[in-house]
Amino acid sequence: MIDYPQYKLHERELIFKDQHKDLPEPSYAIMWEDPADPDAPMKVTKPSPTWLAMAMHGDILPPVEVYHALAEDEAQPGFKRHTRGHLLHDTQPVPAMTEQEAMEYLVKKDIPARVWRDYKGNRQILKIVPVHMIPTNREFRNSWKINQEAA
Amino acid sequence: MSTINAQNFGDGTDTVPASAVIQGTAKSWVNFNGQGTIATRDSYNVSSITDNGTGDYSLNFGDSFSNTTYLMAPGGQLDTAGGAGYSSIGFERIVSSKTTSGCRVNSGTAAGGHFDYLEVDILFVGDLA
Repeated sequence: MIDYPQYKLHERELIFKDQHKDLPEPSYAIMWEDPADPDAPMKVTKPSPTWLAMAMHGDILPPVEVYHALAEDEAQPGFKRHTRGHLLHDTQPVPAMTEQEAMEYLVKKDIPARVWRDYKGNRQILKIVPVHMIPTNREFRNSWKINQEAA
Repeated sequence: MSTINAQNFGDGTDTVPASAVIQGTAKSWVNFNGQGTIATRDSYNVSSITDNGTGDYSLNFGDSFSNTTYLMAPGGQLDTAGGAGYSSIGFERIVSSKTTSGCRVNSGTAAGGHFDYLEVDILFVGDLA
């Protein structure tokens, strides 16, 4: 049994990858629109198979609030370098998540807060959907928008 | 996992400081399909990829870089149509295209214009937080 928390975050992934080969492609993706760029096409965010597997394994990823703390530091005027990077490695990792919980974590980690937290409009601008529901035909790629009728 | 602590590595003839090995090691890399529904084939220290539009991708790191002076070494394959394979991938030309937690990159053809690559390969070097 590997004691992941004793290693730095990037070391945990190296160990995990060595132990877990040929991970399946994630079955969910995040479709979202950026209210800061309303003319842009819908965006599609997919987790890496390794990251998703680590999230579902547990005891590897730090709480998502750690990333928010670092983002706040980076947003300060005159930011040069992180001085609280140790939070990524030293904060007690989160336990195993379901795939749904992992996708919600990913929204908070990798999607701008103006989309999932601060948006006050009436349009639904973010959905977590099965990958097979996302069109693969690129002919009309730049006209994709989230269907407001779908539940 | 065991740790070897040493200041230098050598083969009897040449010696390099351990810091050179650490500094020169890729801290993140990814190989993904940029066509159709994007998909990561393999990666290290990448939590997710985002398809922003044609030839327009965002990458997010699992372990953040300590600053934004990291560099990327991009490559890729446009498609399998034959002919010369000149790839062109770079950071997007906006202020926020590069943060410690991720970056936004564009891929295009030598002729100009965005293009969805069959294979996007990017390697990042720098200091992790």
